[in-house]
Amino acid sequence: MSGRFLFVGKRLILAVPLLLGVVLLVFLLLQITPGDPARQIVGLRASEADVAQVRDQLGLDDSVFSQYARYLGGVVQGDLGFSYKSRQPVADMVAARLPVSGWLVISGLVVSLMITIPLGVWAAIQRDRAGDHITRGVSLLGIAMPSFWVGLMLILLVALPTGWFPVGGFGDTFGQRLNAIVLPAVTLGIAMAPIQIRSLRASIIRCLGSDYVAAGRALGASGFLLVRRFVLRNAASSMVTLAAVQTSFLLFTMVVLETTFGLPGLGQGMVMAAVQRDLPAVQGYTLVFALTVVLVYLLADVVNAVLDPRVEIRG
Amino acid sequence: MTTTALRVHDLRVTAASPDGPSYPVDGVSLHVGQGEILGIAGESGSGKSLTLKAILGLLPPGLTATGTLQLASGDGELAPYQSHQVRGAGVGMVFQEPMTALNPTMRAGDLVALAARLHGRLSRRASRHRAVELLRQVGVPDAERRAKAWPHQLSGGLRQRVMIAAALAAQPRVLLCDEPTTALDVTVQHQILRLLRWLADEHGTGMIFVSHDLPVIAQLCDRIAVMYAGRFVETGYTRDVLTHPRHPYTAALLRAAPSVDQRGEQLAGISGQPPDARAFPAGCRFRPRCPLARDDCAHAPYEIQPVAAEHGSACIHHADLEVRTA
Repeated sequence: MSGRFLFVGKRLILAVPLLLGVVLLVFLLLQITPGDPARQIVGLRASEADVAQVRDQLGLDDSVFSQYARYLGGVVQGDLGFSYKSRQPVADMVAARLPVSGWLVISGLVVSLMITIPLGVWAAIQRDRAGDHITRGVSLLGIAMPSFWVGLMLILLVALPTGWFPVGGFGDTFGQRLNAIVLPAVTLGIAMAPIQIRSLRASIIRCLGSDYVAAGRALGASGFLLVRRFVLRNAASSMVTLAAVQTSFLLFTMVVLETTFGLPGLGQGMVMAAVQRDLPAVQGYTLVFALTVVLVYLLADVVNAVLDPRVEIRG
Repeated sequence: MTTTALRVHDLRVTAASPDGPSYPVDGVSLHVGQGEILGIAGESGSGKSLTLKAILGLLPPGLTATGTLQLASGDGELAPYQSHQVRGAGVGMVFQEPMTALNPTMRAGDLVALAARLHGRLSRRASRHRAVELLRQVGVPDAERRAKAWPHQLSGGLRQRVMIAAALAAQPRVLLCDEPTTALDVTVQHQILRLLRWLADEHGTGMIFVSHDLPVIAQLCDRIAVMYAGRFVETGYTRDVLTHPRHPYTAALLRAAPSVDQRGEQLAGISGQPPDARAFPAGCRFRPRCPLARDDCAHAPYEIQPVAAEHGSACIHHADLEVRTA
């Protein structure tokens, strides 16, 4: 037991240099971008003296090392600098958008798992028979349909005729938010499920062929009980890893979905910041994305450690 | 004469393939009495493991079984059964590799408790008590603590004991043992064999013990069936068969098995390979490897002929063999 906690602890410690590296890369983003940030802030018509003053304020003439130290110090205290455009603290902008994207990703994951687990189990049990072929067809369809199209279709065919779901925007209360996130979550779930289904099918088939499942059968376990007690937990770890990888690739889908459903999330904010050449904001969003990826992988490791008692020897 | 616990008649396992069907198990008949241990001996690929799997309906995909399977019911009457109905409570199974046969994500005690709950309608708490009791019964020391261990934390011998405890949870009439000691150290092997013998004697559990290890079978089993290329070639009481083999294959197996009093003597291997089920030779299937083969062996019909009381051989020249080994 203690071995598994040790494993998780080791992963946590290993995450620290990773995070420092991420902050360094994000910091370098500003350094390697052509153009003078100070000139951007004051505008093209401002005098050289004004530019110099702003450069001095921002500490842009200091050495790269002291700038990095200052940036890192700010990040640790939750200070991500100020937006060139709105002059707001970037941290506040990120904080306002983070919950929206968090809702989207988590509910999307939940929906995808709700699709994946029954279909993946069904496909594996029905291997090379009707259920397997149907699942394969449905998965292909899911991969073939782009998210923005699925989203638009859900708005056109579900939200507009029924009036049950808002066509765009996010709410303030829990109920409103839950209501607003349903269709985006379904869209995201449809985008993520097909690959998960293939993966789950493969690992369940591997488990079904194992000695311990044969032993479980020999003891008299069958049907749902056999799958639940002897298969699912053993098949889960590859799913958890896959979901983590998928989540880290979600940025693009998130931008598309947040635009389609008018959700004020991180993806939308990132695009706006990029279009406006608002570098500190871009930096802030990038940092949050990178941190999320690190945390998601860490979380996947923890979940796997909980699911699989052998992690302590493999770790 | 003990009451018969399990009877198998004319069991045939069919493997379908594009080149036509083959029969890796081809007409096996056997019976096991209460408290009796039947050993099935043979090389790898002779079909002995498939025979066990067919009895419990656990054949891998692509293989199907035909034949009559009968199990003794409560009053001792033999009745045909559907394999999925007898798994656990009627017939249990112990596998070769305790390493892979235990679910890695299930604690030892939970597996045994689950097996008990599947048949006994026990409460969760009662089944947990029963699990510890069973573990203690099969000789797991410190059973209370070991019940909470994960399989990878247990030694091979303990794992096999856990497997046996789980298989016994529903008190099956017959226990099928698929080389349960092959993967274990010799000393541990000995302990497991003693446990199995004790279970047969004290609980009246009938057993089929499959092994390629003749000395182990000699030590454990009441009766033996020697299997070659999907068929039994010699059957009888262990002592009769191993001291007076009446089939050349049994004799060859005996010469190939090391024993303590033959130290220094050269072990005789059996030349050639056991045949593949897709290309069994016509007539006697051992003929291509048999040192005593004659022309008429190629047309020999398959039949186990009585050679002595309760002793049968499929060799048509078994009478000559008696002279040679005597």
